[in-house]
Amino acid sequence: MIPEAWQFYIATLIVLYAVTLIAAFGLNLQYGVTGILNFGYAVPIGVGGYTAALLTLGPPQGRFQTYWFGLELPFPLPWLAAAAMGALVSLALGFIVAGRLRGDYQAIVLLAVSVIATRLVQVQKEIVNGGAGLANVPQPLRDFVDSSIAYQWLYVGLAVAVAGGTWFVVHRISRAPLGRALRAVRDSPEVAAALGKDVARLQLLVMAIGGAAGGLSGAMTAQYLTGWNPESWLLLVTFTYFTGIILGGAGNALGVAVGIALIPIGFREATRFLPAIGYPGLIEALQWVVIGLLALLVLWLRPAGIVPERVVAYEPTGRARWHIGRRGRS
Amino acid sequence: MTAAAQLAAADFVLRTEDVHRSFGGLAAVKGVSLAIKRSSVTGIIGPNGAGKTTLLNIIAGADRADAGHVYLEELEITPLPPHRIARLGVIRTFQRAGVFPTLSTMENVLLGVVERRDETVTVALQGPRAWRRAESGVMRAWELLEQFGLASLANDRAGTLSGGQKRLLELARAVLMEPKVMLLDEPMAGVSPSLVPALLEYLRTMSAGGMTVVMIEHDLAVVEDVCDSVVFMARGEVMATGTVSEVLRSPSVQAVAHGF
Repeated sequence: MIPEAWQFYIATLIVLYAVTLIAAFGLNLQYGVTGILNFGYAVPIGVGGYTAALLTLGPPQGRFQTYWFGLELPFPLPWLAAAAMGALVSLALGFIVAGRLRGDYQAIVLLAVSVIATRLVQVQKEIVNGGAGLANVPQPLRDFVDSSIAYQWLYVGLAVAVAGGTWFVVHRISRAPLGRALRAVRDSPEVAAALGKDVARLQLLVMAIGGAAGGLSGAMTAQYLTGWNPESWLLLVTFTYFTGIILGGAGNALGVAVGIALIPIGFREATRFLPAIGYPGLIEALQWVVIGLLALLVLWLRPAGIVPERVVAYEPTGRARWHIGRRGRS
Repeated sequence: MTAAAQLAAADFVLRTEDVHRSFGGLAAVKGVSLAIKRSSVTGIIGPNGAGKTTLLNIIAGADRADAGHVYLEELEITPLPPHRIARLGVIRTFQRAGVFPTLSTMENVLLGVVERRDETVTVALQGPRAWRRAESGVMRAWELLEQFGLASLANDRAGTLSGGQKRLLELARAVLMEPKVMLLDEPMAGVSPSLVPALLEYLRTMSAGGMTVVMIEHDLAVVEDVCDSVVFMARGEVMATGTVSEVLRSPSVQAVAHGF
């Protein structure tokens, strides 16, 4: 029998991996498949977390935390609402950039929006308790299970199921004719438009779908950790996701799963076990340096990532056979 | 629309009226008025910087005219975005071959044949069977790739093709889309000379079948071979129109050719 402390640790790792993966699948649809360099991806994650918190905390008591309003909605309504809010906010970001700005300018605008959003939440105490964030966020289905370890495994089941569902949706979209149109937009928006593809509409579509995944991920994280604050969705979070996606292989669900296991989860957990050196916090600070260096190295040495995106092969015999084929020379 | 204009629209599938476009102080296109006959092959020739590609971009909606109008049959398409113009049946190729480098050759072609209604989340979630239904044009795509000498490269990434092969791919995709008007920007540049006669024959056949072709081309032999009429542009203006020999004999063209 695995000791309970280890069970907690393993369950926590699986939940964090699953919820990170949900967001990463959404971001991969936007960046890896469609080519939108969405440096504002933390915004729908943040909105999702706050939505779930506000919809479960109940009316504000006015003691140790202040917030705009609170409800006590049953599971899974807060998660669904968080996904919807994530999609809406992401769609709003999309309207700012889609079809108006080229890729690099889109990235700069979205990055600026992300920084502004974090700062606004930090300074505005009345809406979601400012920089201190919201605490005591109730966990879903908590009353169904007595022991806390059993609840950990219940949450593992929920998180894995939602991650699986997100994978299913995103995988199907990226492999279908729609995915081909999205990858065409990624490769060349001008040529895609010349073939009749409505580039702005396609970009808005993936902003909404990716935003829903981000919102859901934020909600699940907030309710698992029972708290949510601006630190949970800093710009750095977006960069960690990007590094994981690029390392694993952008545009490809398996690559994303590998990259996310390695960077936000594996790498950060591995460094946790290093002996303390230098002043307190040095190792944590160095983590970001190493993550940045890794991103640079991967882009330099293996830009397609560990598991590169593959092409779909067609056969000239009889009816067209659809399967994942050879990668092609590149 | 007046009766005369209606008559004109019936004869001419594509018209530009007094189109102007400047970049800063440089007037790239100055008052260009053209009328392209249905089912014809029209060549646009002229020195570099004549405004040929800018004009093509304006017709295709990739660039906005500062003034003037572009009509597809009776419909004014000047204000429309490029994807709307493409959906109306105006398909263009690019000066630097417009392919999607990370997609395979076959996927590049399929992007032209799969219906817009099949590029939806609903069809995506239905799974491979629905995707195959949406890709019913794949067998015709194979035939065309065979004719264009690209079948053996069908599953290779388009980014790995040579410059000439990319042009062929772009042309094959445009042909497969069966547009009303095909705008070609130097379609034969870099294409293997052994393939050129067959491609020109292909364009002639398509044109005889009702498609209108407008092509920018520097190779006068190609223009002479395939074009019914020629437009000579220089310094943003149309200097002469007519057959190749008429245009080349035109005094204004001679003046440009001799540096005046």
